[in-house]
Amino acid sequence: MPRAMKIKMSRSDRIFTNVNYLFLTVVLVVIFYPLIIVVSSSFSEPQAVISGKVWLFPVGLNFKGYQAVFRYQKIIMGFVNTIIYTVGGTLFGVSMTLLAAYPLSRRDLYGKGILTFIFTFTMLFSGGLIPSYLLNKALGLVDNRMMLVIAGSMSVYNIIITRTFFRSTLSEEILEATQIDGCDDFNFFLRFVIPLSSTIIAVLVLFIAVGHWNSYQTAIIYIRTESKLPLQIILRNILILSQTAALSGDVSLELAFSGMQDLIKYALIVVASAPILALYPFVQKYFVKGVMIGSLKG
Amino acid sequence: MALSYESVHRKRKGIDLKRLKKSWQLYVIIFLPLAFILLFHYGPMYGIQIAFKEYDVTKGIFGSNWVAWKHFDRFIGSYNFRNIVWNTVSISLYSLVFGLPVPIILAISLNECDSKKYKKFVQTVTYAPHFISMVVMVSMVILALSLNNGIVNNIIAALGGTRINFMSKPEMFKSIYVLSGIWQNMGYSSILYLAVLTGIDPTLYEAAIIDGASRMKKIRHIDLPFLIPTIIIMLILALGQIMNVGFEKIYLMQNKLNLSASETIATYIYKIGIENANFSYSAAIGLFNSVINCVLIVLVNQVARKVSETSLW
Amino acid sequence: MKSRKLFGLVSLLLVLVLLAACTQTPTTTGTGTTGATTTKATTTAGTTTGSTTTSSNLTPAGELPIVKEKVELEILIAASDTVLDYETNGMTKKMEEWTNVHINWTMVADAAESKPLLLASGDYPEVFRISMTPEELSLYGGKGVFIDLTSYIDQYGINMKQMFDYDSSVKRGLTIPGGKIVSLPTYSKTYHMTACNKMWVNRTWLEALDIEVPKTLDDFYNMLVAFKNDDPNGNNTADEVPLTGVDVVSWNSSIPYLMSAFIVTDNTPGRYFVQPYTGAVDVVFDKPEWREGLKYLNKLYAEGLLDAECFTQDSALRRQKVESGVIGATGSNAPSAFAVADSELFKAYDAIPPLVGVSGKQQTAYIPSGMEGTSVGFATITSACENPDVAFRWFDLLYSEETIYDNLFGTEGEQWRKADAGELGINGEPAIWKTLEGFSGVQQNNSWYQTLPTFRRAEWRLGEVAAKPENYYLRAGMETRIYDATTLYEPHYNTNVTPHIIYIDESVASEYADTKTALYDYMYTSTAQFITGGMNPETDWDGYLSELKNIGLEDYLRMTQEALDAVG
Repeated sequence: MPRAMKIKMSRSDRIFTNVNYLFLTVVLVVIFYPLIIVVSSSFSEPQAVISGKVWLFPVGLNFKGYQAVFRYQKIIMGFVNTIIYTVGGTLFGVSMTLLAAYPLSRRDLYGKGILTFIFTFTMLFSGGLIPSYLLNKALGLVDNRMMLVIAGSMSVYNIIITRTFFRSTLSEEILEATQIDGCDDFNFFLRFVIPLSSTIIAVLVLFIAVGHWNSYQTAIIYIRTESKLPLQIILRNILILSQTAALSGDVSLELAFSGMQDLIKYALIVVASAPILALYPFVQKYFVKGVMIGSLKG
Repeated sequence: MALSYESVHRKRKGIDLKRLKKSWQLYVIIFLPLAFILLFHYGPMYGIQIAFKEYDVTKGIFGSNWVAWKHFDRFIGSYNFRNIVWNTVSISLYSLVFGLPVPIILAISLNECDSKKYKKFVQTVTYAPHFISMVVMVSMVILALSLNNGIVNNIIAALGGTRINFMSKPEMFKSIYVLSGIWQNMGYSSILYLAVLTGIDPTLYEAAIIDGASRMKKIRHIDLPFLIPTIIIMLILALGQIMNVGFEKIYLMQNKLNLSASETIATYIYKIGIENANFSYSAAIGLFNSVINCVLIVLVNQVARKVSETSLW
Repeated sequence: MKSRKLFGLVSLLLVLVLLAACTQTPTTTGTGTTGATTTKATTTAGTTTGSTTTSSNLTPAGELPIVKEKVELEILIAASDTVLDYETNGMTKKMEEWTNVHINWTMVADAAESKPLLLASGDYPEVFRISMTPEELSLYGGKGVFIDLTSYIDQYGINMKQMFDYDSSVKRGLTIPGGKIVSLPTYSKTYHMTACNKMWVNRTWLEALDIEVPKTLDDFYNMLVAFKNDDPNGNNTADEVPLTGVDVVSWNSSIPYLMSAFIVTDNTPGRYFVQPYTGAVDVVFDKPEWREGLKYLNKLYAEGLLDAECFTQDSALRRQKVESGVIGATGSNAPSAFAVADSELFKAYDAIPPLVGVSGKQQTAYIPSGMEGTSVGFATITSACENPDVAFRWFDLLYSEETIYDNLFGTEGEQWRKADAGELGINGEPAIWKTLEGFSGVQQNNSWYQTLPTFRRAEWRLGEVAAKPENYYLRAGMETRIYDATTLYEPHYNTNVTPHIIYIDESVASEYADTKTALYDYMYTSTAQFITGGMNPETDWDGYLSELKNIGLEDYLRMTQEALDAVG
């Protein structure tokens, strides 16, 4: 290759790389800066937070915000519950999603149009809350921990993206090759599809786990015992209580929270998200290189 | 046995038992999710009729009186109908047009980042805002945009401009909504695309480099084609949700000055709902939304089928 | 084969999970939930639900315990951070001892979100301790979902009748169309809430600039101008924001106070009726005086005297500004809403009396307090209740003077004490009670605080031992401080106002809801625009009026009038 061309390319590549880094840094700053403020504020003096003095580092480093939040003893219980629901729900949801998405991804599935329609129709139309509630009640799911495990675990949205993933990664050649060797669908699914899918499984784990971690609607509707409440509800109640003090005109309540509203708010963000934030780097390890089509081609 | 074009696409009247039999194992695999969907999603489907009835709890869903289009007429005839539907649709489209590309760009950008540590760091940071609850998020936005002390106005003033009272202007509402949404979700939304990009066979890249391709070319000819199926599906799914603008964030960002731009279907239902608990009415509005979503998704899917290999069904 | 086995195992597991989900019995004991199916109605509308089976178990009216043999009662209540655990709560135990009724508490995480579903699905507990709106009371009470309590009130309502005697608007407010009473309210006559739109001014600024407390609209204007120009906070920067507020019309807005000088304006959303009430319902926001008020407010805004963010900011932002020392005045119920307790700024504000209005007199709005739309449906007994007479008597006990301290605070000597001779109450009269050090309404388990009904008379509330004079400007002195503030307003309000609790007839409920929502949205937006300059009170007023008419102002007034006349 002529030398001149080589230099030209690396220069354009260098420009590209620099611009890329610049872009990422801008994005990082724009997103990171407010987050720093949130974290710093959560460790600051209430007075400093209220008057807006925290602009980078904690002012008057202390743990009052966290103390206020953890005084709510129900938080520990909420944490435990959420972990149960998240772990259980993720196991359940990922399995169900894979079981649904694989057959739908097979172009030779007889009736796949109808099946796909059956699934996707539910994304658009639903019977509504009342009939669902009555059905779930009849099934004994009211005030039942299981409800929080299975609710929302299987979303058609996830099934669709998984199906897309399967279609892109699993070429028909692989299937045919194994079929020649006498491999049937069950075998293929368990011995080839699952192992090759660690990337999409990782994505599903993340999406479903996060969904469970953040959820509160289902608990509001179905739970009748305080000890079963997930973390988000507990936190939400604390937040609402501290914020509505100002709206309710309840002077004694306002005084009880006086000065702490903002601090509590920020400490709550940290408490609510820290555990799940740790999940992503962990899950990201499973993003496997090279699973996309091309594994059989040269 | 190679799958011939015919064996896959042949149309036959009635159920082709032979081919059905061939797929029996796949049916077993899909059995549980199918049963789940049928039970939990189709089981309650009869409730759609509430939209056409005057729901009376003492009579139950089946016993309530049939009123046909009454609720739809009420909604379509309501004072602000055009405005709230327009707001809902335009907010959705605006979010889509700007919200779809940004995570893609971010994913590509991260993929091109050579430093693994930096890449991981940026990823974790950008994914964090997704977990901030809406209540807190909106109060952060209001604070950041505040006239005299907000960081945005401070920057504007430092650059010599005049301060802007952002939240008071209806014309800025949608932009604030969309931009803050991008801020909050771009990291989380980029994960899927990043997963796809990570999965691309490295030998393809090596081949490209040998062929003398620059990074830009590489992105255009390798990355993007691999991303296209996912992008198309995301686009179709998003358009199928076009009427479903979330309630909470809008409601929190609304104030008396920006109402003309910020009143959406969901907030309207909420306000009416406070006055009288009318389930039939909200069911009818929900059905109205669903039908529009459905029409749109079918249309877009058809277009996708013609234009690309990827489509929803 | 192996893969099939594995596959079979996984499927079995998933099936087991689903089965486990569906067959687990719920752990709450609902002693009366009849879990309606979709077709069968649970309510037996019209049937007398006064069960005769327990009448032999009941003790005579007024006696305790209520029943000879223990009876269970289910109450559905929202989980709150006020009470740690209802099961083990101090007041719960006491009530069980006194009444021989055991309460099974069913909890919901969020009352507002669960309520519509619970009502619509037919899934009723025996008692709802979730606030029902007047619309819900009328709708479900009319159908018999909430049972008629009138006969119980006659037979057993010793304390409730005293509430009726104390405040004649209570019985009227409780009576739904058709004459039934279907709910148990909570009543708390709060003196300082009767004048909610107070104006608080920075006393230190007045002193620094040697200005007197403004008496007229012009005085007020001049004060604001001085605040803006003369650097009252002494930092050589023109950072002063003379007047701020939150929202257009709310407890924390500055608009109602100033507007009242033109036409008396209630600061409660949705309640802009002319005061005093002449028998004919009318609103204030289409009157010429309102227009004049808009012009005045617009002038304040245009000259930078009214905070440009007053309609877009929330309480948190206002508090930030106050604590930064830049706010001259703001409307609010109490300083606890806009300042941090015990800070320098918390101490700096004093309420000022109503301004002399265009009528030549001081005028201000009256807010009844006592029983509001939010408290009229505080608790309801449903058709699913097995022992409604017992349930009623149980609640009636909570309205008595004997149970109030245990209900609200806890045990004598631990959470509260009786006042000593010589101690004065907030109103300057001999005091009655005081909470003790360490009592808090948050995260406690000694009492129900305010989560169950009470009957608190105004004099009783004001009978709390007043704080020491040196604590006047601190959090301990808040009650006294806002009492004093209210005394500035009391002489000028007229207590004859449009009834607050309005039951709209079901046949027009939809039209009413649509019209009212559209009307108020338009009114709020227009008011905000008139003030900020988006609309001009000179040129756009007629267009505004005709649009109000177009939306249906007259229909709104007519329907409201009909509703009020129906109750009589």
